[in-house]
Amino acid sequence: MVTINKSITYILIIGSFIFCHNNLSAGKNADNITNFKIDPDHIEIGAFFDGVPLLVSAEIPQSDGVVIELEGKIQDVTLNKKGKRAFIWLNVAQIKVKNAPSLYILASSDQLDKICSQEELEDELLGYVAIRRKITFESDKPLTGIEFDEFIKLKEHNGSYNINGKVKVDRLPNDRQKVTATMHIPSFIPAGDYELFLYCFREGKLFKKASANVMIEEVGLTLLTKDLAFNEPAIYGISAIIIALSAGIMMGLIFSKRSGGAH
Amino acid sequence: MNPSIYLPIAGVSVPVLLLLGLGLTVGFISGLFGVGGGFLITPLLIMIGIPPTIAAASDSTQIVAATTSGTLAHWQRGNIDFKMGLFLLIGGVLGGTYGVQLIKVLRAVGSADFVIKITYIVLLCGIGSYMFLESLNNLRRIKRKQSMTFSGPVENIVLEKKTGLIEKGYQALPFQANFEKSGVKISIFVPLILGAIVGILAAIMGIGGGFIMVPLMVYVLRLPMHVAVGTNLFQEVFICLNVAFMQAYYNQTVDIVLALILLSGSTIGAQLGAKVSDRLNADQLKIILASIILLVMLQMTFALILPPHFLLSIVKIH
Repeated sequence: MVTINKSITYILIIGSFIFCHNNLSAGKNADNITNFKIDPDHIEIGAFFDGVPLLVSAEIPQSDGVVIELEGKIQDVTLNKKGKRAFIWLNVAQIKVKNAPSLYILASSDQLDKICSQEELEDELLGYVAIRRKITFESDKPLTGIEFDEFIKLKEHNGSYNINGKVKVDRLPNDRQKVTATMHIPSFIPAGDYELFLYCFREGKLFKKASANVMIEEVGLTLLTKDLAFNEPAIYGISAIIIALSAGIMMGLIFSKRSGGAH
Repeated sequence: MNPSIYLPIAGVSVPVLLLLGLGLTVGFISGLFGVGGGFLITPLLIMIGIPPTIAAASDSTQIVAATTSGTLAHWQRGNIDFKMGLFLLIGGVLGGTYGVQLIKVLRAVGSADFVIKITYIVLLCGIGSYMFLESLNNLRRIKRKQSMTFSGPVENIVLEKKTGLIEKGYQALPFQANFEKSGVKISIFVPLILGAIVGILAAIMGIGGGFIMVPLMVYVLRLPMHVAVGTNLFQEVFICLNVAFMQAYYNQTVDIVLALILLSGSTIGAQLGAKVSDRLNADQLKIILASIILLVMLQMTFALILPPHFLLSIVKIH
């Protein structure tokens, strides 16, 4: 009888411990970003790579707004600027853009200015405010103030920049939310390690932030061709013209046989 | 479904069928008129997202294939004057080398782009209009003669050649050589200088010289149209071969995958173009070429006058 009572006591103690532990963990997790996943988190650029949809999901505490941001490597770009001289449009200046991200994709649960204040955007460097802060324009000719907007227009047109992605937010028990977003990675993304950020806002202020890595690497024919082109340019150049000449001669011979040979 | 392929040097993915179609079209034009076709394909490649330097360099590589294929087709038809082609080529290489240096000086002066573009438009307009009207008149005269005399094939009617001041000037120049295939006796300096002028223009404008060279061969050197087409293709093989290697070696801008897909279409197109060229007489061929020259001139004019959609364009990513 004593043994049975002891066993019950032990079971009750262990049960209470598990109950308390679970509740404490839930309380702790309720305020954290959990299950933050990116699928795929390793992207291979092979011969038939055509960009990929990147599925981002996470469980977050109750928030008023969520922003997911993917920024590419920083690079310098040389641009030609057109202007009107007399009645025709010509390249009138060359501009060097410094510190521009190669890629900037942003998805949000609402419009950025509804999720957080302008000051917060500037502090956290989100959206085009962030890009405007980072990049600089240099030219021998005077700048006219249209450069930034025109640069964004150009980048949006070729798909490098996009801040109109949508984040879906679903309710979970315990004041938690599940966020999902599909971000399209364009085919022209350079290989490298990328960091994807998840920001949670409450009452216009950032209160939680998490990040995850995405690795993008060149493989197979892509890697082989680039390696040859950049490390053995003479062999690559000779191969290119031999291939071109052979293709031209081969086609000439095929058609010559079909049409009955030389005159 | 339109499968796409990733271009390793350009760093973008493009639909294969689109590239094959582009190659076929440009090859056809190349085989038909003896022009490289860079004027058509490079802007289209840029439009589908390929960086300009890579589009131009890869295009040069595929032009090697298209012009080789077209050269063989025209050689089989006896349309190539190798001797004339060689002198034009030497002039072209010298002119091209000088042109690259000249463009640096012109750019330093300031309004070089304006002067170059206007000169090119005026040149295309002059050549295109003259070629169009002259061929149209010839066709009308042939038609009149046919209806007046006999109803034989058009090729049997030979229009009398005019001997003007230009011919007399040619005859006064030293180092006269007989170019049997073209049926002309001329100083070797004429094709050398002509090649050099076109080489300079091609280097300055950044596009091949076929558009200017073929009409100049016909009107200045007095080559028969079909021989002008074949001979220009022959010399363009070597010009583009040089450009393709230099771009691959110094700038690493040749995308071999892009060039391969384009040339798969263009080598076939060049053969088809040469076949169609056989079926057209010289004046019909000249009228079509003149029309294309005038269309290119109009396109360039509109591009200069109409406000561009983008005020900035990417030159280089570092």
